[in-house]
Amino acid sequence: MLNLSFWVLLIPLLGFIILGLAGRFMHRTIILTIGWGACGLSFLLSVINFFAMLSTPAAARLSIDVPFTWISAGSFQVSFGQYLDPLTMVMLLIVTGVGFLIHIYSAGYMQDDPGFWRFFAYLNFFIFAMLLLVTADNFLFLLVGWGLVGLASFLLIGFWYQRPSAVAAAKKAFVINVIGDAGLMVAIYLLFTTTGSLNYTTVLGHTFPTDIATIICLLLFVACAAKSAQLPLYMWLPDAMEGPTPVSALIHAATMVTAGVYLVARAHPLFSQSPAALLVVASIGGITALFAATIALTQLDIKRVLAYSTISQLGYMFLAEGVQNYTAGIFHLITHAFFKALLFLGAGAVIHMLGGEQDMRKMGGLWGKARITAWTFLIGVLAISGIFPLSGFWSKDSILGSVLAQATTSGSIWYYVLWVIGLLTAGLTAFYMFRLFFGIFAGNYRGETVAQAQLHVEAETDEATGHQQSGPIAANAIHEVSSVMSIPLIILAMLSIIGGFIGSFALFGLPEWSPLAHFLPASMSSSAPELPLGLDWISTGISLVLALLGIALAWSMYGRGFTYKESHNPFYQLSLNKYYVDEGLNIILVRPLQALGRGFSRGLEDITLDGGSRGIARIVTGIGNGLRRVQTGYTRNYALGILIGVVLIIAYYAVRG
Amino acid sequence: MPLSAYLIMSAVLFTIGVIGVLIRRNPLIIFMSIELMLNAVNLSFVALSHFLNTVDGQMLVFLVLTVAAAEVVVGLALIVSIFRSRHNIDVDEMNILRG
Repeated sequence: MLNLSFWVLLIPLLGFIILGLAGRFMHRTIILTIGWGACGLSFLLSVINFFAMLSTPAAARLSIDVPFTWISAGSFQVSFGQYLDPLTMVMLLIVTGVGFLIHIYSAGYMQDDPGFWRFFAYLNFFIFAMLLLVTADNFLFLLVGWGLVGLASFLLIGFWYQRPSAVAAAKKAFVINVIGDAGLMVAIYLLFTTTGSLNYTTVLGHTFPTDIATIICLLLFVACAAKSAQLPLYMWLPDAMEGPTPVSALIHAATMVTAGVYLVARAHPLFSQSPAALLVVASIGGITALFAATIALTQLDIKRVLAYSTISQLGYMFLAEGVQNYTAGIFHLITHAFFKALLFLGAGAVIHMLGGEQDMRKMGGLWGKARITAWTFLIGVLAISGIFPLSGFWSKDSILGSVLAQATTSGSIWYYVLWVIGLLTAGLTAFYMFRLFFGIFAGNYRGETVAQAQLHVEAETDEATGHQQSGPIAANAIHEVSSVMSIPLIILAMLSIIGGFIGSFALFGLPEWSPLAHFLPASMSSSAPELPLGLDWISTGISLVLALLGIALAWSMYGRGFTYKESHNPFYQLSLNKYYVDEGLNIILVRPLQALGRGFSRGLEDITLDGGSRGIARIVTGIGNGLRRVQTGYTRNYALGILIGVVLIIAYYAVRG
Repeated sequence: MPLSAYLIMSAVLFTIGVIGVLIRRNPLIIFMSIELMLNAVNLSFVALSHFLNTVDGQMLVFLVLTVAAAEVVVGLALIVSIFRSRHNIDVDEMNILRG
């Protein structure tokens, strides 16, 4: 079968190298040609390859292309190879496709930014790193890609490096991701010691003892939880919103954070060998989904609402994978990539319109002013809320259905609990997403009243960003974003509407129609228990009703415009302050570690290491000072020295004979 | 004359040269003393060459003469340039390299 993934991979790398080296001196048009071109060409090749794959019989849809061997040590070999199967294909299309739309959008969003070229260089670099991650044919190159996407994320979160908060967020993301990388490394080590190889073909075909499989899967899941922002390693994602909004859309919603979901799906033969690990995956996923949704209820920063909703949706994906319906997880990954990218780009458009404003309290009334943004955003909100027939409905439904199926077949109470958690989260999601929607678009524009109230407050300027926050924008100065930004919105909105139709239509009496499940390897869904049609209807019905209830509640509370009321309700405060996790961690972890570091720097480094090296330096200086006196500068002294030396040498040989 | 006479003569001349180098402060005299040392060595070379019936020693004498000439050229040039910059050629004054 045709395997173009090496070229798909190489082109964004070339784009990155060219832009990184010479972008500074280039004209905007050339930067855009290279930046868009690299990603677009990559997408085009992926599409060509996709059709080539479709025309191949299902059994032969795996191609491993090995350009060169990287490590060869006896029987151990690591090759730089591209593993192209339907799962990789799906990821290639998502990464390059959504990536390309966001590249286009960024041209408008980053228009006035002095770091325009740097931004596109980083974006291309990210695309390359993510493609490396999904096309690797062994766990070592997976780790390389895994690390590089972390780096790309770090660079892009800290893109506005003059802002201390952005730098802090970038560091936080990097550190937490490294915790995950450590888990992945240990897992790889264990895989190597048990199977003697790191290639997918060998490792994934191997049968492990259950306890070893559990340990490996849990370690892999540590990496997934860090990358995909699951409990307890989710804290970096909300902070990552410091990056430019297109970055939040691409990296922190649509693609990079789904790497964990991809890894579990990729390693599903391994996970399926360990029921304990699967239980952990499902539980963490479900609890995270609910936990993040409760935080999203009260957030005021529109990007933070979306960030927590991303965490929550990623939780759904892991929930699906935990009940062995990996296809449903990937299905939700796809639809989520569409509607979450759409929502983030829509939020970005709103932020752009309002001159950098992200606070929901200073928005409102944009429905009439920005029709395209408003409509596309509404579609995104409906899709994520799981309203029929938009994409979120299908994928969320198949997840909830699988959980219920698992609960009925295993008879375990815990799976019923997870199912209820999933349903609750669906209702909460609909509520907070519509709260966000009404907050931005309904009622009257609140920026101006705030402006009058704060006239005396000094205008905040943020020179690092293209968005100079010079106080709220006047209502009549707000206008729809340019077409370079609205076209990606429209395309993503259409995908959000129809994206769900690749799922199963079993509910509507068409069990044969399920393109995604037929495309992906059968092993990804075959071990998931079947759900009787009746129960499926019940699960779907309840989630739909809960979502509608959530919407109705949001309508009744915020339908006429968002009003912020200070509330001292302890639950409200808990949610608003994100359960005080950051503060708690500061006390439990960060401060003691900093104190330990300070102690080491003073006690250990100053006294022993620095003291030791300084002592050696002092000894050498002393010897030098002593020997300095020998150099008198008198020629005759030297001559005498030479003479004495010669006499001594001669005397030595004379005496020795 | 026996070989020892030549060698004693050579040793005496060499010692005079060494003492000259060590006690005199005028570089010209020091150079002359160095010449004396070199020629003392030459004397022993020639004497030994004669008594051992080989020409090796005499060849070395020519080498020494050449090197001595070259060394004097460099040395005198140094003295001239030092004199030009300091108007003084006392070796004890030339101690700017003192540590």
